[in-house]
Amino acid sequence: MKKVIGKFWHWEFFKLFFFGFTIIGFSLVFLAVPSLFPSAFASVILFFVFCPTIDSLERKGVSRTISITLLFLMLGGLLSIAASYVIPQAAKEMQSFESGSQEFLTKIHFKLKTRESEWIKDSQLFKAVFKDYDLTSKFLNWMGDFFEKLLFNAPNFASQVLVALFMVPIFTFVLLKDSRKFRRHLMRLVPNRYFETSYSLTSRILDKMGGYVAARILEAALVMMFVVIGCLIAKIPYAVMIGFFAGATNPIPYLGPLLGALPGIALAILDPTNHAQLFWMLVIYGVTNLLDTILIFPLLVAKIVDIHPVIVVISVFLGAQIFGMIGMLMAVPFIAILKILIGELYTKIYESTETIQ
Amino acid sequence: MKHANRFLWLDLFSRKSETEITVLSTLRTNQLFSKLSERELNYLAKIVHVRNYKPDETIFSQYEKGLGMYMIAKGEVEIRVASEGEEVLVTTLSPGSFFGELALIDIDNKRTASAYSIGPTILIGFFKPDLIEIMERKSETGVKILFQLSRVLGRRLSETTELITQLYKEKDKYKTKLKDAA
Repeated sequence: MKKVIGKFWHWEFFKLFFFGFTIIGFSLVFLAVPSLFPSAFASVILFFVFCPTIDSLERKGVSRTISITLLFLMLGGLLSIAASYVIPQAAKEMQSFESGSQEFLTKIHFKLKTRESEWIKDSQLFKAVFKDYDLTSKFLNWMGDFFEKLLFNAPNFASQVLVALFMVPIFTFVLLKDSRKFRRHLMRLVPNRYFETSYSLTSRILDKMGGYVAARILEAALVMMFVVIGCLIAKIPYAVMIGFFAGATNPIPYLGPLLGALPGIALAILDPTNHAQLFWMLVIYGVTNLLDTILIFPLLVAKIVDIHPVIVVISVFLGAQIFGMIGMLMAVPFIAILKILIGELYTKIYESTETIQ
Repeated sequence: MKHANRFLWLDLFSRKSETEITVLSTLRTNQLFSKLSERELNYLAKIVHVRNYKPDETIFSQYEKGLGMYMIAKGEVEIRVASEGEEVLVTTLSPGSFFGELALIDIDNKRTASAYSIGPTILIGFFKPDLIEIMERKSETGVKILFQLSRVLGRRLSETTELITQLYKEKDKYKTKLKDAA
């Protein structure tokens, strides 16, 4: 070697330190103001969803700022139209659910009490353990406490939603407009020696994330559509609510479809008037899940992520243990990023060794 | 340079920083971007990466994975190739020259030589993700760059072919001479 990199270690170290300091600084902002995190998270997802559309408008000669403004206006219009149709329907469903809830609660109480009495009659062990326990009342009290807590937290949740409603459009606009500029400025801080590797890695990670987010949103939308159509055909009430919940929970790997099926199945069990509802709900969820597993997921998501199923299961479990619901959602993209980083490191170590040999 | 002088008056009245002016003038004189309009060049100037190097600093090493090309805005760059345990100087490049352009289109490009800055050097980096970004956002500009890039690579290929042919001829000449001498 003619030149020695060690000669610049102090210069490189200073740049590296400054780069690390900037990254930590950004992270500290989110730690200091945690309420910003959900808005930033939602904005990043929206950025990945809308970036291809903005790029395509820009390709047609429309300036980026005008493209984003047009998209926001169009989305605003579409949301208003959708809200004018969906909100009354959802409100009607909610109202119907609310008015029917008293009947449901009486029914649950009756069903559980009957079941408890049967168990006490049939099983000596159950009788010995739960005879004076009044399991049904205990369970219903626990449910009551749970919903009370949920309602108690509702104002906090509502304020977070309000913050998000205000911040998400702003964050998304800025990201769509200037994210590449921010990235370029950040890359300036990277030492020359690591510049190409860092730039290549960030590009690959962003590409993968963009594809992954778009694929998962499309998958969730298709699942929601299938469930809503199925419910409408089978004349099952609360179709929009059930479909929305199934779509919203679907991106959570493995557990998502099960969680998504809970409201529909619970409503079917509790509805005293429609006996075939449970059967139809199981058919709808079964067919949707089958279509998702054999068609949508392999065609849309698996090709992009390319991770072994066992690793996905373990990562989702670990994500849930450490960060709860967000951890479950973030587990797969996190593993995808880790795979890119490890791949790059592997190539760097082993290919350089092969070259030396 | 004629092309650069034509737009000199624009630089005088613009509020661009010194670095931006250096970037623009380097891009204007580069063969890859010779077909771009002033507007496209301004757009490109916002995409490329300005990198400052200390004297004798490594720009990239031989066999390393390459991501793109560098244009010399200021300073000089030495290109060296490893041969039998030591590095042999291949060429010294001056401002206006560019190197590493093969990495722009080759998927797993490995650098075929090492590059070092001689004095304080300013390089303008143009990398594969930048080219992809241009193709995604301004495909017309991307096509112009790709066309020029293919012309440059084609010319370099024909130069290499010519050189190899010449080497073969020389080899045959020496073979005949050796035969005659024997």
